[in-house]
Amino acid sequence: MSEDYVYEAFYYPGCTMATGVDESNRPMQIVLRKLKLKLNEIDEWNCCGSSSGHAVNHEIPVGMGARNFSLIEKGVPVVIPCPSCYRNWATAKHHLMTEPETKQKYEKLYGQIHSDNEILNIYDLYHKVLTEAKAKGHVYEGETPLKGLKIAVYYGCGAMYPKVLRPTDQRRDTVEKVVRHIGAETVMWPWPNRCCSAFVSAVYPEIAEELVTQIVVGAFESGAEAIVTTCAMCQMNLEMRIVSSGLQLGLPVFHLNQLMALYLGEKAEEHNDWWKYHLVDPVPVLKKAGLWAA
Amino acid sequence: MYPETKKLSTRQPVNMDQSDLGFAKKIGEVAGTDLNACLTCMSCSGGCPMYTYMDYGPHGIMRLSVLGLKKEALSSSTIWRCVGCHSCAAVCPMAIDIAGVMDYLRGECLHEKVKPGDRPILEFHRAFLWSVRRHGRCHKVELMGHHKLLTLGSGPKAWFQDAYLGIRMILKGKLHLMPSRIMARGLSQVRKTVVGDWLHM
Repeated sequence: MSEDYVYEAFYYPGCTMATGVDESNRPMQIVLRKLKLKLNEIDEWNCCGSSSGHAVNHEIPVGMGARNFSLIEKGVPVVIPCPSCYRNWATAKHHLMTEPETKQKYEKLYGQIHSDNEILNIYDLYHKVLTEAKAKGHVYEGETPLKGLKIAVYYGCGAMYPKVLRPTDQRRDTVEKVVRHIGAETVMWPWPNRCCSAFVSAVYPEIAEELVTQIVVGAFESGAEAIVTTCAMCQMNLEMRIVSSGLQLGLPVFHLNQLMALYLGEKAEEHNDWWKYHLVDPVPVLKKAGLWAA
Repeated sequence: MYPETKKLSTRQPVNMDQSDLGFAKKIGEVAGTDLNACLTCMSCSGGCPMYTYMDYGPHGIMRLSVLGLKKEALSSSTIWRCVGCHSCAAVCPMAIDIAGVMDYLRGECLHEKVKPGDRPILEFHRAFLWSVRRHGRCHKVELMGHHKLLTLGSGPKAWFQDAYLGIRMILKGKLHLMPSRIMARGLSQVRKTVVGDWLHM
């Protein structure tokens, strides 16, 4: 590892981040640069299988995960920004580690599989780096705590696991900790892990509207001014499926990367290249919180 | 889409003539979980976001499986309307991997060529996996177009729903028109894995 970086790992963007969501990709590049994290995109990575892979054949996520694991180097961790991709990677890892015959089968197809490498969510990485920086008393250049922003942290269902996949040290409050660390307030609210309806949104929009409205109204009634999520699909569903009465509540849905970038000294008013992608305009909330210098 | 009446909440006696008592054991072996541990406490259904729109609900599917009522379980709409969010598995006091059981049942439904309880959702999964077979990654714009073609029989509502929203998202640049792809050798590797009964329908 070169001295310019505090952490180096592989990066698995996942299909959603690779074909859209520039409003999250752009601030993420800034955050990685400022936190001195070097993430190298895995060459020729493939889809993790998403919801559809395991839905029709439970071997698909294992096979696709096996190929992804064969593309990385031994001992180098993989950072994954999408909670749903993370769960599919964890499923593949579980099967490859506990069933030697499965691993052999895929090693014949893809060559050596490094399934013992660590995989981690990008928010776990942020939490780790920020905590270490705080312990050392390190202050980032241009650091501006996001004072006065009340946030409902929405994990989505990506943070739910069956028992075998549950990490032994899994914490249920990592994103809350990050959000509080960067100076914003978090609210207690009923639906941090409620499903946003995922792919059903594309097939039956009316079901998605019901679930999303429940989530957004829940956040509003608990006093939140905005929702933050780490899952790009949740972000899209929450903004796209909100019914018009919910839209009037004016709760924008931020990506965690955007808030991180603002904390690390980016100016909100200079980044119309992020905000223009939002279907619910976040500018009034940013102005109200004093983060928008007019 | 309307809420469904729950099929287990009737006064009809359960018909056990065709029950396959090895069914729960078989599911347990593949999904790696012991179904006989199920208490029918309904925690899973309580936490399920899709419960209103299911014909049995997750606890009903657990019960059908334990009773060996394979035909009812495989032809239910519940298994297809399950989004795989793992809320059920996370709350289950007996730590049963309920979402994993649903995965197995869907696979079995296709394998045994039972008429799926929710065709449009199955077609969505097929469109998704076809996209992955073509590019090695999913391409959302193409996926939605393909899904519309596959569900042409569902009537005008399905054809036109979200057409305006989709165009708006593309114009905003939120969805990229061009796919992100992997190259030839990797693609043939991916295709070896993205197979199954869904392919030959």
